[in-house]
Amino acid sequence: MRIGVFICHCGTNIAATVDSHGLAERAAELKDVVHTEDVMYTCSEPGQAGIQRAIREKGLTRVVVAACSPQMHEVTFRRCVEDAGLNPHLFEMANIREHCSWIHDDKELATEKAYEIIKMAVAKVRTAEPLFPNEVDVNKDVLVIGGGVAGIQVALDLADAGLKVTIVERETTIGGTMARLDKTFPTIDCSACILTPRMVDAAHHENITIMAYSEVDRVQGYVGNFVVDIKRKAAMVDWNRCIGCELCVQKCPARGPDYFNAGLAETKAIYIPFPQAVPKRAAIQTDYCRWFQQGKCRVCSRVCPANAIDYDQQDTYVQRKVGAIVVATGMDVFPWEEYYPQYGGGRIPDVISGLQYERMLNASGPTGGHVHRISNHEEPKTVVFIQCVGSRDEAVGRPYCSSVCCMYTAKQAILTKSHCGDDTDVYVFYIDIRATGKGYEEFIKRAQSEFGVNYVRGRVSKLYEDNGKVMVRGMDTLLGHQVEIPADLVILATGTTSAEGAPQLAQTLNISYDEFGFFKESHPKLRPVETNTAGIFLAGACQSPKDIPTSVAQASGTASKVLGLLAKDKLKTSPEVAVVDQSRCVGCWKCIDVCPFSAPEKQELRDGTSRSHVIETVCQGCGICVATCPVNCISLKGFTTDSLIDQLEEALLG
Amino acid sequence: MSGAEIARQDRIRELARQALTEGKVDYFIGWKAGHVPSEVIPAFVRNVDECDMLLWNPLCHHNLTTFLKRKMPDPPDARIGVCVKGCDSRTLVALLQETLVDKERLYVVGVPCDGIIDRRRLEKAFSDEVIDIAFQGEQVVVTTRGGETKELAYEELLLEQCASCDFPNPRYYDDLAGELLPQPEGPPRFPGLEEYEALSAEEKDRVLADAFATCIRCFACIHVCPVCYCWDQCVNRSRRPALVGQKVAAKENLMFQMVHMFHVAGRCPSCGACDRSCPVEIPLYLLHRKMNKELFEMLGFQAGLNVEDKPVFQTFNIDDALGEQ
Amino acid sequence: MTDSSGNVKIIAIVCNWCSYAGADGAGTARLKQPYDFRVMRVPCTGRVDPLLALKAFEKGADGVLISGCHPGDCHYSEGNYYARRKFELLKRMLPHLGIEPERYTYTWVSASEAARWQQVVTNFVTKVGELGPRQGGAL
Repeated sequence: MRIGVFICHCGTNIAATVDSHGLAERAAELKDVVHTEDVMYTCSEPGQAGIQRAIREKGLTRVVVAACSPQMHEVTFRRCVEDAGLNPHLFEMANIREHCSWIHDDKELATEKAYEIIKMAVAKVRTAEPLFPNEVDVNKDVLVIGGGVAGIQVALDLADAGLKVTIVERETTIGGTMARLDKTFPTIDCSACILTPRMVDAAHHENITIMAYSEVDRVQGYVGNFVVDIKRKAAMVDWNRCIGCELCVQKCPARGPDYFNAGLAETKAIYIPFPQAVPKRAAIQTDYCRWFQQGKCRVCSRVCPANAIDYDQQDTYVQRKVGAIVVATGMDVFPWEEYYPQYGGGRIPDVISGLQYERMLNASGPTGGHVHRISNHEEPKTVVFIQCVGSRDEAVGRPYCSSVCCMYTAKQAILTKSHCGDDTDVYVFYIDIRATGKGYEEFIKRAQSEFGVNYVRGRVSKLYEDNGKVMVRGMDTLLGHQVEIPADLVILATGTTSAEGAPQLAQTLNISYDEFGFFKESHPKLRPVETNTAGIFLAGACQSPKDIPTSVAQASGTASKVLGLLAKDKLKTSPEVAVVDQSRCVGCWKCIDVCPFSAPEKQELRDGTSRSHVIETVCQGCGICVATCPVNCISLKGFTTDSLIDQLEEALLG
Repeated sequence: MSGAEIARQDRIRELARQALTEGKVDYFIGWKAGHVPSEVIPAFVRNVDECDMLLWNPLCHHNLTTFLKRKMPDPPDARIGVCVKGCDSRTLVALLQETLVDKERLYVVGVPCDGIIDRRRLEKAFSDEVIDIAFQGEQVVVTTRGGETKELAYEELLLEQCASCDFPNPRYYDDLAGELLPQPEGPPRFPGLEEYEALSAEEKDRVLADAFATCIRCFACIHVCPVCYCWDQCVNRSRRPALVGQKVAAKENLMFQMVHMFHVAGRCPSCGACDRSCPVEIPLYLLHRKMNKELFEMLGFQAGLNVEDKPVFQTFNIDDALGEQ
Repeated sequence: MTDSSGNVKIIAIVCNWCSYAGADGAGTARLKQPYDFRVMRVPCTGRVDPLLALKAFEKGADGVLISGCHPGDCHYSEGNYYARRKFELLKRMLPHLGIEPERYTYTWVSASEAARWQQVVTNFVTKVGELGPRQGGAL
């Protein structure tokens, strides 16, 4: 073993408090060290050339650079030694700048400490072994979970780039939350006019397969090679035959709750959520269907011109092999009724959620776009909006800002004026106005000045019915007095919450989620669309509440990350992963228990016994299994137990 | 011997006979008389007519579940009947939690237990060789070779852990040998630690240094431990990684024991098998009983209580409120 | 802050993603720290077997500090959750093994908490420094 040690001055960054030259002389006495030198700027072109020259001329087999933090230049020097023919993992950095020269004043003591840091690095590099990245074939197909605006955007971006994409959507149509909106802020353009062409694009794209009314059941495999089992839920309608004519819907005598219209209306037991649904296919809600509940009816079957009704249909499972998975499962509306008894808890008919109002405003909604009171169908004269219902409220366990309510409230306030006339009184109770997007603040200002919406700063403490009105009692905190407004219609700017079933999906995918059920990105700033599980990405509001522009922007960002991953034919994986010495494994399977990534698996040997085996391409190199394995037969390459113990000895015995 | 004890012994024999006759098990593990009167040893009964050698008395200290641990069952797919006391049953539960023994191939006879006698203490009470021990109600009648006969109170001869036993009844069994005993109330007890706990750091260091200087690393504590199953692969035998030095000295010896202790943490219910097996009588209970006391105070956790539980270090709770700073 | 040095040997085992970066940040901000600790980098506190800390004491360390990402922020999502149970047991057992409680601590320092890193090491090294070198016979 021939180790070379290069000690950097870093100008005066190191040399001012550490005697780099003296260290070079002392380090020459360390075991196996055959070459030392001190260098003004090791990372510079001549500095790196010097290392490469020494590797060639002195036949170095290991290199230590004592300089700055490995987080700064480890990659630089690994590449440098690799270019000189040395395995990049036979290199170690001793951090004598951030961890020594910059934090100390006394040159003698700092030099002594730097020497020990170098000794530890030399001890570590002595145990180093050449490591080689693994290469795995990459499947270039992509699964997108969730067919809302974010999922559609990702799918279209990827499909346009030539990748095969499957969208799995649990409802019978793609479109997500955006399909339920009437207009979008801050332009007040029609939501459907923007979205439905994109839905059709996705449906007709040669590279996109839409699996509606389906859910991800199981995910196996790893980046580049996922195997996904998808459950295709029984719609009781053969979708290969159904032509979406809606005859069955017209004739169906049974009614069920209408998810799409947020409970503002009822739907038929056999239904198509909205006219522009993609795919436009009917499904039976068996809980409300007379045939399934009472064993008679079969009207739909009789009227269907395509003979598509199949009462015996069962869930089926299909398998897809993909290289990457994008999670775009969106969000749900906060179930305010359970949490706000002071607002009537859903018992006051004229108090409705923001999404219900959205459906009311919509021309193809249950009221045909006519705004009226739920109680008596009269047009309201006084409309009150209450912001932050289910947002920024620790009392209901939702401390976060839902990020869309300020803006959609302003939009709905403006639309109220245009639907019901200028003489309608519109009030908005708010805590703060958060209008940080492009054109957002201007939009709020327009609502206030151009449309005359009254903004009242304060929280509403109570809603109650009195004399046919909904009494809104609250505080105007700017004027410092109580206000009470008799309203005809009260709209709660309901916040967003994670989509139902999000934690379960996270567990299926083995990705992290926060206490509210939103999926966690790998790094909030530097890896905002990746998850900690390689090959699984996030887009849209499943990560945190987002408006449409942000969701779409993020979705395109996600698409570019997926393309970056799948542009390669082979994936190189970090070689600093766990490896099992199977000759010592006792098969206690604790490693399988603790791994956050499902990297270890049972592998049956020819003698019929099983041992643990870590799938290198799945392993992220955390080493939890290493610390858990009782026989220490798992070692983490680059951080072996021996290398740690040798460093300890070097630091303590010196 | 009390009537209850005799009834338990009869029932063990009966259940063993039944299991063997019905072909439910290939063999049945219980206790039988040893080579000296103060000794009871494990019995492996394969034939119905051997069942009468099975016995039950307050000398049955062996935790028989150690014969179930990995690689031990012979043959590996044998269907085994086994007797467990309350403490033994917890080690069995720990193994079941890890799915390292096959529930389907086990037939477990739970033995309610009034407490095991500290054989070492008993023998040390006599300068002469003990040639007979008889259990008469609450009394233990001991006769020595020199002809001395002494009556000792059973209560006073109990192992420290048995004198304040929290689990006289098995936590897991298929059939019971005898009536269940009253379940003690109150929080778990961890006896015998107070005196040591009161020492200063320096004094503790000295006590341990003295005790562990005598360790000969015979591996008895490890081999006898039901939840310690790495055998030849034990990291204590490994030179690479060199977690434990090969030098025989107090520090390395304590490190050796630390490997054992931390590896069984969360699965060890302090059944005391290691204590009783140590040929140089190192007070190992000071370590593992203390560890269990701390685990209980830390997470309210006790090892080997329910088969559905996860061993405490193979899982976590994001709300764990621990003492980090 | 103490500038004296050389009387105690302290090992700081830190995770690569949070605490090592936090210590880097403290260096970049020129936050002065005591001399008497040596940093050993591991990918994650989940990689740290408590036996490694015991090994450090056996090899003559006068203090061991372990620091990782805050719970919930683990780069590998779960490493520090597993680790803190083990570290806490170790913390409770060490005094029982004849090692003063002040000689061991585990904590969380994020990549952005440079000042916290400075404070953590300064406090720890000062406390261990007051106790002085260990004369352990058992560990």
